[in-house]
Amino acid sequence: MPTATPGPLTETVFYILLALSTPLHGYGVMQRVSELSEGRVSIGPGTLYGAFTSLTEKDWIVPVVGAANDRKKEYVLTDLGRDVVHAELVRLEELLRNGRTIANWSTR
Amino acid sequence: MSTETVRKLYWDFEKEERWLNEMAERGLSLVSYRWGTYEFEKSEPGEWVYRIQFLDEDARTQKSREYIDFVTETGAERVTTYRQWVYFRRLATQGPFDLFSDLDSRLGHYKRVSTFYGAMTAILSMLMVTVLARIVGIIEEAFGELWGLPIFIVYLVLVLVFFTQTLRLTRRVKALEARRKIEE
Repeated sequence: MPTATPGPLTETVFYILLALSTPLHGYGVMQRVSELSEGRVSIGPGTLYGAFTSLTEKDWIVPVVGAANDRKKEYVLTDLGRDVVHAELVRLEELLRNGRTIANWSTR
Repeated sequence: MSTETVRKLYWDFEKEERWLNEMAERGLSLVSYRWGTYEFEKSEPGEWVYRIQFLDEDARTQKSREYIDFVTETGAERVTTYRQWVYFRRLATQGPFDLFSDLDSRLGHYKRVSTFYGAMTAILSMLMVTVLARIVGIIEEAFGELWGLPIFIVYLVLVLVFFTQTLRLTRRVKALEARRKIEE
């Protein structure tokens, strides 16, 4: 477990980390997240680039050492990144549990 | 190759972007830009969607070029650059095109532009108070007294433009920060 548990992750970051459970390059992440969210979440390249930078700094993801002439840099989750995703899932389950219990009013 | 040249000056990059997309809707797509001069190519109406971004550094630095390469690898095209500004476009058939998809990154972008305009306002104002009077004096000595006032007026207009842009952008940032307290 990381020494300092990060606060709630943003939806964008959560989906990026999820997508990078397999090595992907930028466009691959954008497509995967769009797939996972059934088109609801579409990450902009500016946002994604910034996220790649911060997540690499935090050591939650790492660039994949690929072929020498591979132009498209791929990233993948680190062990720390996996721990962060698990912690986030625990948090989300708590929210969902409470939400379903309390907010069980019928939908209009 | 049929190109059309339009001479225009924009201080507000969002107005500029809206205008470029309006032109693209009409079948004129931007292919090149130099200060004050836009070059358009005839295209299918609505074929392209344009976005303008203010980078951390000049577009020609290594860092900027890496970022621009990254964006082009996601399916967009680098149309042109100007100092720290980059103009992207993407085919409308690929769906809606936005460089920033969450509040944090949009805030970051607005703050960068607002900081730049704020700095320009401060620098130009300071120069106005200190150096401008001397420069105008020198020009008046060389070319005659009629030059003094026009130069000063142009300079003042410049300072006002940067100032109003800084104000406008600061208001945008405040509005987004208020939204950020609730949503992402």
